[in-house]
Amino acid sequence: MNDIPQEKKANVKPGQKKKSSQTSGYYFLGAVTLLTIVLLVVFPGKTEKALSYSLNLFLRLIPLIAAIITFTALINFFVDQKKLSSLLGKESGLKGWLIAIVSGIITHGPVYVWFSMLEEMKKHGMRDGLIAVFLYNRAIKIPLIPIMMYYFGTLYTIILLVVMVVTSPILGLLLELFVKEKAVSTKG
Amino acid sequence: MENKKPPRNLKGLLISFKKASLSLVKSLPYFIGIILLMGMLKIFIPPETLLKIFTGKIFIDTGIGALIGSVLAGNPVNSYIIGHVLLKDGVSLFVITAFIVSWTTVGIVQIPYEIQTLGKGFAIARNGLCFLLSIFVSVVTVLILGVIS
Repeated sequence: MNDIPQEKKANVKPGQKKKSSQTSGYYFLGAVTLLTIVLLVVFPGKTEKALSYSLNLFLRLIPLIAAIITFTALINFFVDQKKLSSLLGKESGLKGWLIAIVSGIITHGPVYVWFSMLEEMKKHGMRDGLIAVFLYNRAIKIPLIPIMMYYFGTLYTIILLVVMVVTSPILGLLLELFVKEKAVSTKG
Repeated sequence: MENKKPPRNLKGLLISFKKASLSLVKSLPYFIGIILLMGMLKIFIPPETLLKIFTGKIFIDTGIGALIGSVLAGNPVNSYIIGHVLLKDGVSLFVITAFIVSWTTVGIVQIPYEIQTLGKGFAIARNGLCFLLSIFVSVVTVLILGVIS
């Protein structure tokens, strides 16, 4: 099923979906730029500070973006679709949930930077529930645990992180139920 | 991007890199938009503004906390600092927990990009469920903390 390109599945002309999603990206950026210009006119001082913060953030993200391009390219080049399906696909079982949880915890950077790579892995057969679990566990960052302990105490931090890890597969299963039901009702 | 396997040689590796780079370049309008919005939210909505939003009623405030965390974005450390300030000002731990969890798991600002890459159904279901889970996680965490301590 995953061999079929998304455009063909939806009976859409190849490239049509990508073009429209690219256009929506430009609309999104256009709307944000317009908002920035308005704010720059009304609150020049604050907006300049915000732009400076955004520029710093973007510069800090460049190495991570480079790493994700490399990672995505290597997955595309080395990882066999069947192999990835057995690790993170429908038949992955407990192993798949554990891989999604651990990889979510050990990876770094803002969550949106990973969407592009996850899109590629989804095309290779990664199940939706595991993508959701991976994204959810990205909330747990090992280097930030001492900081959380400093602000909220050790016991609170440990309980919160354990509760989050335990509830993450529930999120994955619920999401798959919802997405599946939605697909069925769309067909109906 | 189709799933056609590139050949296992240097040319194939270069094709893979080109495809991965193009995919991220196409995402640049979303990246730049999200980063600009994050800057605006950071500067225009300081913690003291958030304090005025809470009502003092735990159930309503927990929902409000989850909602604010869903809208705001950025480094999780910022959510800890804001949460700490709110806690010192007397806001309930239920509210703070929902706020911290939704800050890191729900992303309203990045939803357009999530829809583009992972699909509309996935993005809406994931963010909606994460919002509800942030409230559930806050209740469970604070109750367990209460029992243990």
